[in-house]
Amino acid sequence: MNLRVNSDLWAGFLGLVFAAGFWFSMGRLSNLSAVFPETILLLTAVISVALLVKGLLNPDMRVLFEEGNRLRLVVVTLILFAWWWGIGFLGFVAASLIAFFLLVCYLAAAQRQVTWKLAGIWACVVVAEVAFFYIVFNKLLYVRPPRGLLF
Amino acid sequence: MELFLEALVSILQPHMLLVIFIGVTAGLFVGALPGLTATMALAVLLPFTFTMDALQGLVALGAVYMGTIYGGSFAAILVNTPGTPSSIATTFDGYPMAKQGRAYEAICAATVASVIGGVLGVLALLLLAPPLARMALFFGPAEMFWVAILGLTLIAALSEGSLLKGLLGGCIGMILGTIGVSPVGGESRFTFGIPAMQGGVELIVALIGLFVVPELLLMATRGRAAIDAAGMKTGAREGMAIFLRTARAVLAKPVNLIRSAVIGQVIAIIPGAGGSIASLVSYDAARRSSKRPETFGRGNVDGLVASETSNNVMVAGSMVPLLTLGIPGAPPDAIILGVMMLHGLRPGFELFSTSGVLTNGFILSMGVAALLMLPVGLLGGRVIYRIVVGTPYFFLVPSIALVTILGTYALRNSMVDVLIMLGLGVVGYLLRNIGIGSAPIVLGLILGGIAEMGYVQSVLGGMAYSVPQLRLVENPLSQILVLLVVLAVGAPMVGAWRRRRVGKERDAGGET
Repeated sequence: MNLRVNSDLWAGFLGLVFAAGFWFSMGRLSNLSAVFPETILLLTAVISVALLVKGLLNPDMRVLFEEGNRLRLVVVTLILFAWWWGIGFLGFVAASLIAFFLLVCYLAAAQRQVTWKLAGIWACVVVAEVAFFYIVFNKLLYVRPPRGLLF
Repeated sequence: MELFLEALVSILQPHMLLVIFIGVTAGLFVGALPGLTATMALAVLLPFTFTMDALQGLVALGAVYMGTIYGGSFAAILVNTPGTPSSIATTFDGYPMAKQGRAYEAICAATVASVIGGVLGVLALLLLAPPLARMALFFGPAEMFWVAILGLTLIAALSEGSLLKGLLGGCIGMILGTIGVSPVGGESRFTFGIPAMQGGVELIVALIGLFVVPELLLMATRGRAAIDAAGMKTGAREGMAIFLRTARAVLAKPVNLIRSAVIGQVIAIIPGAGGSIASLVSYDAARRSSKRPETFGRGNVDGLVASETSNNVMVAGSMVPLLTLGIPGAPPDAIILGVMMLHGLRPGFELFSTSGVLTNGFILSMGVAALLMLPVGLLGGRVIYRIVVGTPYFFLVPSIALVTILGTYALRNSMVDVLIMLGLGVVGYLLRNIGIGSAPIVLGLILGGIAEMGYVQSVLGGMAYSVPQLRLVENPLSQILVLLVVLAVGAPMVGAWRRRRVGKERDAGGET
């Protein structure tokens, strides 16, 4: 199914929502702190209105997410956010091993059949790669990745 | 002259050359990793320099600095990620070249441009340091405001199809840049009650989010890597042929190289401007003076050369205010200043005479580092290129995700930054679908802060006038910059009007 939308109308609408969201959360600021964001937010609103008008008079129609598989887009996005959440909960190493391996298997399944043997080999590569970057950051660059329930 | 020759001899010692070689190589790989900046590389190296003598320590820092800025171009070309903020404009044409199967050509062009930029920067530092330092003093808040506005005119070039959408992207970027503590008033803005937002949106976090995450999502949805592996099957002889052909093409356009070097040098001496602005302004100048501006952003090697020349001029160029006035032109320079102070060296014009061997040796070592980037870069570039292109896409996507998550976290040890990076990435991907590209947003984020600082400081300085804003156009340099802004905005409009008129006349002539 093609999601064909009026991109000018959408851009104008999102611009207005963005400008309104920031405008109403500005609160009480001194003139020095407020002058620049106020000017830019007003400019954003003007451009958004211009896009809305253009969307009504001479719309730019676009097909959303034209390329590739939309389900894969959603799943990969969810895995990325779950990876972030998992780092805080389980710790960097454990969450990265799980998320990395899941992503490899899921993305590979789109191209080829994933056998147990292949998955085993990939698991070894994933462990080696995560361990390599963990050691580089932890021991060499002195950046301690977050620890959670595990490590 | 005697001091200069003595410095040259001390730099050409085998152990010094080894330090430079290791520094450039390490810098190249650090710069190629998204999120790891030159400042971070120098900060990590800093404790190791304590055991070195003053010259060796400064040489090591200079070599790593050079290598890191150059290494940023690899990530920009191969995965559309500016490895360092200085290579943002490299992504505009470098990545399209890679997608067209011209990745190695792009790496060769970046290498040649970086070497030339690095050497020109060193020459300018050796020969013109005192007059350039005096010039830096002319750039006040008003001039910085106009430099930022001049940079913002680039939005017109970066808008993909619709100028209005490009401008909207620029405004979104500028507003994102205002999140956190305001630079002049010191009040919290747009933190939405989240304490971690006080620090604002870090530029590199936004760069990684807006450039890398959408590419990862695209690769995942397409089910294949963005760069074709076909171009990888080049042997050493074929690789050398590509390098020679590209080097000839780059050298055949000396005006582009010189113009980019001059822009890079002028911006380098302005404290706080940074390599990202130098590369953006040079890119814009190259596009405007090109006979085929429409090919920029679609794999035009001239855009890549302009960006890489100017950001490598920056490295030595930013040493001008540092060595002569004691003002660090860019964050990594502050670390170099710290090492100088540690060894009892006081920046100033007399540094060139009282510690002439050391100062000239340090400057010359950066020239040697720039020259070493040629063999190191071509070999290292080939290795990185083969790794990126040869890795199956289902390993490439999570590998890049792992490095970006770690790199983003490493900036401020903050998982909130990682969340912002992922959030901006997904929003960037959605906005790209409705025609709002990532480049104008990032441009707004970079330049918005500088424009705000310049504007507010100028208005504060002009409180004695009935119209404080008059301070913005008071100085002759400001007026020149205003003229450049007017030309940058007006010239394309006049050009478009003329083309329409000629087209109409031609149509009318054809009809009669």
